[in-house]
Amino acid sequence: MPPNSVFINAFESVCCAGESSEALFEAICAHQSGIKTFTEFIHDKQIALGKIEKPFSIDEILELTCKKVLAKSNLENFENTLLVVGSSVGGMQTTEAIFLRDHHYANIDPKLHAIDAIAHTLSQHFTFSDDISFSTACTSSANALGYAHEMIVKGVYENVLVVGFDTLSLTTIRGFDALGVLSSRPCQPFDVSRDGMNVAEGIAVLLLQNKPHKESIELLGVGYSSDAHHMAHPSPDGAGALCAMQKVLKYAHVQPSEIGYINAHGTGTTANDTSEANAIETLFGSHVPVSSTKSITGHTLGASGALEAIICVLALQKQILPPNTNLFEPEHKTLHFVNEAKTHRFRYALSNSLAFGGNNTALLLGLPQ
Amino acid sequence: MKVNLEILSSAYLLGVKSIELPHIKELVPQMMTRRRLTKAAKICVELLNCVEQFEGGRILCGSAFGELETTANILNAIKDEQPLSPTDFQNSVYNTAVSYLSILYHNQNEILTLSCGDKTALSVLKAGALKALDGDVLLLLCFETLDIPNIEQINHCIKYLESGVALVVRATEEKATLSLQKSELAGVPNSISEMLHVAQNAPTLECAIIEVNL
Repeated sequence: MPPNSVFINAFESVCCAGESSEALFEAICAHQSGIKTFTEFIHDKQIALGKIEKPFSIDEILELTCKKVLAKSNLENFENTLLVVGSSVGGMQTTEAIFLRDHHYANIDPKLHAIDAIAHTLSQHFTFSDDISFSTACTSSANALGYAHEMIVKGVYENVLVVGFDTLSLTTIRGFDALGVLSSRPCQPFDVSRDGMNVAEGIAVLLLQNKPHKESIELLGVGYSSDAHHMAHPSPDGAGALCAMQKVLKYAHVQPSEIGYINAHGTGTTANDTSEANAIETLFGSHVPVSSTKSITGHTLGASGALEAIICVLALQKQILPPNTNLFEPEHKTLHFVNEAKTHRFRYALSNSLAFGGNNTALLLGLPQ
Repeated sequence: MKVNLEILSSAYLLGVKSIELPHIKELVPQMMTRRRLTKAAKICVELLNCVEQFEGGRILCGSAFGELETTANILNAIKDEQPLSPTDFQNSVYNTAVSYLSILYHNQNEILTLSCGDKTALSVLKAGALKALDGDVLLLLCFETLDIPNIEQINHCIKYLESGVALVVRATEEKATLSLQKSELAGVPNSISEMLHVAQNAPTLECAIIEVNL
């Protein structure tokens, strides 16, 4: 029996640059960054972050975002749907608040501390047939999408809800500061003057199904690889990212020349951007349009794979290439960076996610066959 | 969908406090490299050394609480207004242990980490069964490293603070010979229990096969 196809039929997101996916895409095209500067997170230091500023808790926003996806879908509920969560820090924000108040662990609820906290929270509002949570740092929700894809392709589930979720926490903000990779201004992925990344929070929810709807975009495959190089630094030649991209193209029988857009991981750090640009250059040369959208959204860590998949879905639906922002002088002058949003006929988009530990995931999305 | 998994090899480690790892110096001879490894990474290295028939393919790993020692170090540094250790931060992600396996053994394959609370071991088996349909041999791992100062403030039921299980599996059409259930050993973390049950009982069978309901 031929494998099932996988369609992204409903989605919604919330991040610092938009309370909806449509608003986010408009912000990207208009170069309107959601990154702002803050001084309260690190003593005597200004840093730029992507914070969702709404008068609700992040859990309420998550619940509302899932309700919006359900309303856009052909489902009455999620009872026959698998929940697949991707998150880097899970309930760390809650744990921090309790520990820094109490100075002991006694009042921390293990169910609300761990990665599983997100599935636990959602189970208070929705019934799912089962749930599973992935935590592979910044590839978490890209890997969640990969698992969802595999579940549908192999005929185990017809409906899978993927949730990418990460909140701002002192752990991540001060942790990335300790690594010396935080910028004090909106980041400049791939620019010679880039000086680091912007930690951000985000929620991205996608419903994947085995049958298409009117405006479906197909998730054609997922490529995985491991750098086997270093815990926090990608291999400089981009071998791991290159391998993930090659694997997904081979799986889907798509040639590099057929790719019409690459949403790069593009964090704005020296190490990531050089490595990823080398990988893209090796496989695609200079002909494929490339952008990083993190100068608008910040790096939403475990949520970024799902959030950037949504950006690719909208780019394919609208046939508009999302531009880079703050890219004035590219370090890799041979790559085809997109500077302004423009209409462009293309069938396939690739989205890269790269993480600590050398964990690499490439998603291939396309207009339905 | 039901998928049967043949258990080709298995191993487990349990410690009421810190697990002794007798071979770690031989397995990671470079002291600087060894010092960077988290306890979970060392447990995974030791487990990998104990199992057979895994020649460096795909790995699925699960842990409910991940790298708890580095997480606690970070929380305490924030509380004390001290700078965070960059090593603690880079080692605090849930995929740290298997990433070190990837680095030490040059494994460039798909390596995923799950964290599903008490259901973690069962979820690793489900994900392993789904992946095994592709026909390859996989390494399934799970661990918990809860032996940190003041853990008694929050832990009231887990006796074995450090634990790890490794299963080398492949899909099979043969009938199940071993039931999939929680370990009967009291005081082990729920998050490793089903995999521990398999590892405890598989060596007693000529051919250990479990049925995993996806």
